[in-house]
Order: sequence, then structure tokens, then C-alpha cells
Amino acid sequence: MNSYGYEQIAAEYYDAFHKTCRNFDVATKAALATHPVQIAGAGLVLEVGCGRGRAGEFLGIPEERIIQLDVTREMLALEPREKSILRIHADATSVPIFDAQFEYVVGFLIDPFIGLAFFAEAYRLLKPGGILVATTPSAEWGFALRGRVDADAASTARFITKKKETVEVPSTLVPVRRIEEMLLFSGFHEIETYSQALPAGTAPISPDVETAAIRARVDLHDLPLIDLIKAVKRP
Amino acid sequence: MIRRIAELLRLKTRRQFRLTFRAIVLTAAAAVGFASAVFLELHAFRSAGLLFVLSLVFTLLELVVADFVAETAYPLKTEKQLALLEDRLGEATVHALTLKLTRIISGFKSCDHSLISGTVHILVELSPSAEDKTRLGLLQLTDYVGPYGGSKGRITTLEKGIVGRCARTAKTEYVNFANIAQYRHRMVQEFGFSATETERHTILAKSYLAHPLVLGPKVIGVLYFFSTEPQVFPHGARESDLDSLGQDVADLLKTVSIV
Repeated sequence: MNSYGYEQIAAEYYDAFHKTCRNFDVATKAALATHPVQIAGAGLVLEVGCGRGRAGEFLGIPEERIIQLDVTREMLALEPREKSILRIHADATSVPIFDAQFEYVVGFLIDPFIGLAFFAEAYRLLKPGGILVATTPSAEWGFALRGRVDADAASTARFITKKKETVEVPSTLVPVRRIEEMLLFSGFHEIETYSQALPAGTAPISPDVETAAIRARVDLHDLPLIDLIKAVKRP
Repeated sequence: MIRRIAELLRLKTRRQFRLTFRAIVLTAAAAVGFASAVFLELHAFRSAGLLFVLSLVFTLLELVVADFVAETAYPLKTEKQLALLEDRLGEATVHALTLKLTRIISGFKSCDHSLISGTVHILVELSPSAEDKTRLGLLQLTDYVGPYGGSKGRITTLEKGIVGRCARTAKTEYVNFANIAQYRHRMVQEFGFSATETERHTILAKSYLAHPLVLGPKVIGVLYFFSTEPQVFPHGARESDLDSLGQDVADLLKTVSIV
């Protein structure tokens, strides 16, 4: 089986039970409130690793502009979901669409496929002047939680399901400086990255966030939880 | 079964196989002989007789079966060829190859160089099998440069792996795996390895690149790199850099008459 692991957690991925994911949602909203992304009025938007779709919720993009893409069939089939004009079952690093078709490529929590190949593919798919908007779990949080010793830990996350089963999924932690380097190398410019901690007053807080903060010896509301990335394809 | 045990014990050469097998069989035969003598002293003739038969089986294993397995699994001609290559290569060339590999790795862009391993494979003629009269293989010429990977001397056939694919197509080949499950699946489905063989590899690697070494119109070997960081290849490597440094390596191998 060519498994990514997400097919095993798709049905419960958006439940309140997965507190870390829900904390990521809160941090994403806070990051976008502090650093708003102005979405221009026309053109297609590709949402990569879409799951049930978040482009409408987080960026207010209308459904008639969104094409959703995910490598996990079960994620693409989730209901209820944001509407879109098309759903594509494909790998975000190898998208079966011709070059320069999108005004925006957006992705929320792109850690399953972040890397040079994805950034190069996003660059290829964007029209000149098009914008990549993405979030990914912060390496500062992730390395504090997972540790740096094991090579696999840097690229694997573990979910505990409601049935107490452990599911491993690809999840690569990349420090902000390396993300910027990769984006530059892929051809992007006007690169902006922002780190966002969990806002004060968030409840409930995931034990994974608390543990990481303890290990990093910082207040959990000061520990970067997600990184917001914005980059523009040269016109 | 003997071959399977040899694989598990990672016996790479005919000499290693024969010495290990001989040591095991002689130890077992000595133990059985001693036990047989004890039973004789105790007048337990049936047990002594059974153990004597067992010692004959061990003798048969050492004198007949081991030679047969050695000849099929470790053909003498291939072994001699490998020994010759080792002699020709010499320490200075190995050092020069290691430096060139290190230089190539340090030239990869936008990636963590400390997570990349690399080596050189060269095309060698293997002894013919019942199915193939002319059989080519790839011999790992140097130990890996970098944090992971095994030592030199490993031979793979052209049907297997990204290295074999590169030697067949004479083009740069790459592959990326998102996780270990995908690695296991694709190595069997796309790269010709058995599930057991896959388990013996470095399963932590995520991104692989194989670049052909060419002399004139012929592929003479393959530069092989892998990283535990995802998606390093192909974007982190410039084809022109690989071509130019690959040519350096090919020229060096030609100079020392390896190819």
C-alpha cells in the first residue's frame, strides 16, 4: 500500500479530540489577523494538502476560485467540506496541471510535503506575480517536542487516534531560515515569514504544546507554534 | 536456506562465506563427535550411531553443499575481478574519489549537507548465470561519504534500484519518498527489490539521486547520493555541476585503469 498515514486519521482529523491540530487552527487565525493576506479579485487558487478545505475559512476566498488538491483520497472525500470547482487527487510535489495557471497557491500545514520539490512545483504552477501563502508547524516547537537526535523524528509526526492507536504521518520540520533559503533558491522573491505562538486565552491547550514549551524552557504563549509564509513569483 | 543465512550474516565475499561456513560446520561436527564419544562410553550405541550419522551430514555439508553454494552465490571469476579492482584502485585513488564525492555533496544547494551520503558504483561484468550469458552488475567502489550507508564491495544487478535504473537509462534518476511505508512499497513495486532486501537498506533516507558516469558513448558507472532530508533531489543538484564533477570521476577511474 502506498500509504501516507492520513487515510487512517482522515475521519477524525478535524475533531476537537486532536488538540494540537486545533491549536494550530487558532495560531493560523491569529497569524493571518496580524499579517493579513490581501487576495486579489480574480484568478484561480490552488489549495494544496487541502483536507476538507480551509481557503474560504482562513482567507475568505470564494468557492468558484478554489481548486482543492490532496494526496489522500479519504481527505478529499471528507464531508462536510468547503466547496470548490474541482478536487484533484495528487501529490503536491507533482501536480498534473500545466504551468502558470494560478494566482495563488495556498496551503495550511504543509509539513507533510514541505521541501524544495514542493516550492519548485508551487513556483511552476503560479502565474508571474502569483503568490504562495502557506503555514507549517514551527521547527522550534517541533524540535522541542520530537527532539533532534533521530533523523526520522525530523520528518515524522505521530497521531494518537480516538482508539488509542498510533499513526505515523510525514511531517518535516524546517527552520524559518531554511524555508527562506529554499524559497529564494526556487525563484521566489518578496519572501516574508512570520512565527506565531499560541494566543493567550486559548483553551484547551494541547499537551504537545505544553510539553514542548517546558522542554524549550519558555512560556507556551511565547513558543512559536506555526510559521506563516508568503512569497511572490517574479513577474 | 544457506544463502539466506549468508545474507543475514552479511557475508559479502566467497572467502568470508567459506571461512564462516567452515567454522560453523567444524564446530558443530566437533560437538557432535564429542557427544557421540560420550554416548559410546555410556554404551548408548543407538544415540552414538545417530550422532555419527549427523557428523557425516556435516562433512557432506562442508565438502559438497558449501562448495556448490559458494560457486553459485559467489562466482570465482567475479571474486577475482573484484580483487583485481581493489589492487588497481589503491589508497590514493580511494582518497581522491572521497574528496571528489565530498566536493559534489558540498555543492548541492539549499539543503543540509551533513545529511547526505554518497558513493561511486562502476559497471562490472558478472559471471554468466543459467538465464543470462552476459551479465552486468554494479560494484560499489568506495565506502560511503556521509553519515549513512554501508561499506564498499556491494554488488547489485542492473535490474535493481535507482542505481541500476540510472545505468540502464544513462540519465540522471531521482526518487523521493514521503515516509518509510512509501519507501518499502515503491522499492518493491518500482525498483525491483524484494521486501527482505529493502529491509537491509537505509530506510531513513528520503531523497535519492543517481547520475551516470560516462566515457565516450558508454556508461561506466553511477554517482549515487541520498539524503535523510526530504525532497533534496533533483532540485538541490545542478545537472551541469554533476556532469562536470562526474567527468572528473570518470577520468580518474580511466587514469587508474579501473574502466
